[in-house]
Amino acid sequence: MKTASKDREQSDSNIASNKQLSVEIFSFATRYGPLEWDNKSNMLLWLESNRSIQKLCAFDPQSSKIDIVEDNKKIKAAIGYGGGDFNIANGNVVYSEASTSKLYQINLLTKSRIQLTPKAGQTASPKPSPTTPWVMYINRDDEERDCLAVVQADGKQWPQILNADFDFYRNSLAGTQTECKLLCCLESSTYAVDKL
Amino acid sequence: MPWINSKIYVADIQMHAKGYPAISHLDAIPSPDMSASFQPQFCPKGNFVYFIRDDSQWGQLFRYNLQTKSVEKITDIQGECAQPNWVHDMRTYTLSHDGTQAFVVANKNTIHTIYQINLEKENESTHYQCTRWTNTHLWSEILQPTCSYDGRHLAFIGSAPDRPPEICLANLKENNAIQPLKSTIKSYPQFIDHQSNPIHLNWQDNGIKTYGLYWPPKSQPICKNGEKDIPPVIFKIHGGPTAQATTCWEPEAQFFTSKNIGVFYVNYRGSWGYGRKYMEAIKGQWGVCDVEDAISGLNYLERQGLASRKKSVIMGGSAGGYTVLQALCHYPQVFAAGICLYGVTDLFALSQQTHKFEKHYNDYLLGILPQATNVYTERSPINFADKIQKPIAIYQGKEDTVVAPQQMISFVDSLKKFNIPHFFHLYENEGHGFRLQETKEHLYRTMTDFIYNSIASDV
Repeated sequence: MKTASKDREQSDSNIASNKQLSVEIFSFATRYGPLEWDNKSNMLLWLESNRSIQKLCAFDPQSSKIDIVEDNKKIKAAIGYGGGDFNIANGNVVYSEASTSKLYQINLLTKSRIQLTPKAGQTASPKPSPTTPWVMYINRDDEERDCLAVVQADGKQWPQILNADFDFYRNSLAGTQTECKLLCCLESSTYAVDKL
Repeated sequence: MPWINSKIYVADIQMHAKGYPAISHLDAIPSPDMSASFQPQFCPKGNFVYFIRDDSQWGQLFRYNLQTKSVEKITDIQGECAQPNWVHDMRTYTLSHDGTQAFVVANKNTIHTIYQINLEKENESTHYQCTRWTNTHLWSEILQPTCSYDGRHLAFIGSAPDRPPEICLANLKENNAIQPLKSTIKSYPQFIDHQSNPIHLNWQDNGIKTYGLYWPPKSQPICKNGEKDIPPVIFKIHGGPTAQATTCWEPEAQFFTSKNIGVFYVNYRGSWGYGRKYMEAIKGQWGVCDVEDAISGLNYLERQGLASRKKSVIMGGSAGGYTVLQALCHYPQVFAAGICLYGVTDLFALSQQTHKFEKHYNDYLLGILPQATNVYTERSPINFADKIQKPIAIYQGKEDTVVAPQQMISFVDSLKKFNIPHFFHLYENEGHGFRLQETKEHLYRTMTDFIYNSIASDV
């Protein structure tokens, strides 16, 4: 008992000298990320979250100005533990909207927004192609089946499944300079027990 | 899990007759059995796929030639270049706009450093030129490196014990000079009066080498005779268990150390960042080796005069919360108290109820059911709640989908039944990991009180 009281006394003396951190230290936590560059405007984009506020920001290295692209809709992908909230190509940001998990596209300059996918499970990791009018993304349906899907960047066509052979997909990536062809890269984690 | 065994596939895509893309051919990039691949990425010209893979001890940069279908190892850095792939779109390297340079973040003893690799070598017999950046010392954690398309900038998110996360911009045309672009450091005026910096430690116990980060208290308590006394120490067990406590901005550690409570983050066997062999040491041993390493960490700090059993509290969330319960159940006299945040109490229930991503994680950590039934029974804290002797504080989110709240409620019922001193709080709008500010305020206030009260009752 003595020792604990002594520790508390020491602790209290720090309070008196205002050197002890209060729980407020947790209230300033600002989270940044992911970071993505746009190939067209050469602007750097990131999500900035602080308590209940979230902003999609864009920085122009030439003017050193920071613009807020979106602060109305919450951007968050929610397959598994999340990640892969948005990506950008040719001045168009494609993101997963938190409450519905629909994919939206927003133009950096005009701020005009279009819906790309209907509500159909969860979406993550959208990759707009820099060379073709397609967006590749990961989808998890309501029965927890994952697939790699594509949707046209104007949102006028129904999404199509590219591949559903694997239990999980990670870091799918579209877009090379190979004319109208896309190459994609997918990764599967081992779901099968015998491979563990 | 992707950090244990994963493959990269490359697909050729052609336009389907109906006017949408379809895969015409699918190839796996050749890889050794039981190797983990991370962050596949095409180079700008589209002739290589780059990725990180851990063929040996450390995850290193490789590339796959799409024409020759050959794999080449690019780096041989003494450090870990991948991260455990818990979420989508994690990134530890970036390629320059023209594909001639790679910038790789390597983790050595919890400190991150950027390495620049020239991807164009003079002839086949020479190594790729690899240069360590020396100007990133202000940031011990470097995340999300990414090169601009005009070749001028490299952006990353950096943090350090004395720097909250900030977006940084390196000018690749001016000696890689780095400027913070967006920072919140000015939000922490009270922090100027206090900062603790962690010390990376390793120790041996029965021939087993283990690692940890010790955040010393701001000052040691003074006895009445004027001599320094041993401060209380929190032994923090990270979650995962495939994760790592790193040298980064850690408000929790700063909060407690400002109250003269030391914090020791135990990077127990199974942790990330010390090589594949160290990560694999937890295979089949979860609930055993993590507990042993927490205790050997306490013994080590005791030998150094930095901790005492009577003033040591074990604390952890999720998998770390499970280790807390295992330690209190099976070594009831070692720690003075425990704090468990959304920890696993029932391994059978975890295997049945957890989400898709971790559905078979337990197969690796414990064994496959039903053959491993005994292991699950013997290592489920719910079966040993009566063995706990020291006070325990438990916090749980009502919307937790990883560890179902009912698991914890059943455990607390057992504590009541056996008259074990405990504190339990169920947060209404929280899941697996607490995020709301009011939750954090309540959590850290009550935890601080609990630590002092528990140590008092134990002495």
